[in-house]
Amino acid sequence: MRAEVALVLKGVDYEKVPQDLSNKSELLLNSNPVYRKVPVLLHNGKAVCESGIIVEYVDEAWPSADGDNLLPADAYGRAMARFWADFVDKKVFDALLGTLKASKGTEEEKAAAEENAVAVMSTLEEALMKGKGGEGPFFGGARMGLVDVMLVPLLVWLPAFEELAQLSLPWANKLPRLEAWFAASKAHPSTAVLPEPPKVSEFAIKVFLPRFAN
Amino acid sequence: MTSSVKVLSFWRSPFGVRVLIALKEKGVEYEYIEEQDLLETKSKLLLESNPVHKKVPVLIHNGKPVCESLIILQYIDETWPSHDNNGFLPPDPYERAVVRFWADYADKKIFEAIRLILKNAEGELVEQGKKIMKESMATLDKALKDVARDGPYFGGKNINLVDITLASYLCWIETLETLGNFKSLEESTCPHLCEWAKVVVQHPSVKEGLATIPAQKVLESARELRKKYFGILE
Repeated sequence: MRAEVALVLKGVDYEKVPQDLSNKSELLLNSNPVYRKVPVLLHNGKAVCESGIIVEYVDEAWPSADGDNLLPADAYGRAMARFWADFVDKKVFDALLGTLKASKGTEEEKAAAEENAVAVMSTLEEALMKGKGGEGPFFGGARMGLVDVMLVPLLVWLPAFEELAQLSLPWANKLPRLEAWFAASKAHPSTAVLPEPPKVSEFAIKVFLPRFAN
Repeated sequence: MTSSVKVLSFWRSPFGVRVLIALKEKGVEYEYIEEQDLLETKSKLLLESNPVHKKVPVLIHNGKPVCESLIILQYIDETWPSHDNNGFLPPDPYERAVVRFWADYADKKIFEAIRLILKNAEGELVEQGKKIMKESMATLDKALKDVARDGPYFGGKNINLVDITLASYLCWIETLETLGNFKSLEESTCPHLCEWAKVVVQHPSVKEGLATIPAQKVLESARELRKKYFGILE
């Protein structure tokens, strides 16, 4: 999802080659022999793997004409963008997946998982208030940037987690800027390429829940 | 105007030593601040400069903190650019993606192996760790063989992001092999990487950096950690 949104933001035409992860194609195995995972970006036959690396590659291979790229020009701004992109990649989805896992566990486990999810989302909320995000609605300011692209899958995953894990986040009370981010991102033309939430819920039920079954 | 550069780290951290190597490579003077008690009480400076992760290393440049070692390395590369495209990352976007990929791979694999082997005396988890080490060293050996280069390093004639990242693990790789009584970085399976290791430790910036994290000291410290926190007696 991140690779696609990055390409759309840069106005780059691409061909989507859906993969059956239960029966990996030769193309996938040849282009990502190390991890055998998606996404893989193939540009003129050369493979780029790992979503964060793909997004930075897209940003560098197709620099925006007006100079407003996914990463800012100054070194400190870039370090901050990379920091939050890394936080999103390493902490956010894990925390939400944790609530799904805990939904099969004890009340204590459920409470702990939800507390962790709220803490992680609150940290994101704070990040939105600082830097370019202070101008909002995106982490990149008025336009989507690296962090926004990395967070974009949440638009379709969060409804799935909320439904399947009965996760209830304190949106109005504690996460107003994140709530605004969701609205702005959903409305943004680049996110039209994302799958529908119900499809993602279906995937979560089919693939994730069985992994967490006792 | 002279800038103020501080590095908050812990001597034993491979993530920290790579920051020192990077700064030395750029000829940047810095003040080193050792985090006294990494696993117990964290210092006020650490909690203030890295409130999100509370981890070292942190680079503090003119009062502004930068966290996460690979992010720090890229910040250093961009703030103090090298001449003639001899930076930590090449100028071409595709080659940059490849360099980032391998640095990220090294971190994912070796750190996981350290975690598995350090925290367990023996058994399945240790064996898993050993397997990760053997496979990743072989994979990195092939990556080195496959990359087009005009010198002994991943970066050719000059060290790049991958060289610095991998070099920062060398003492830990030795420690893991001793603790687990196995070999992963060896001539028979990793001829190119072994040759690389011999040359990279002689590189001036790497040599100076690695002098702060001597292998024997790492091993002793690792044994102390295992005894104190995981109840493992050698």
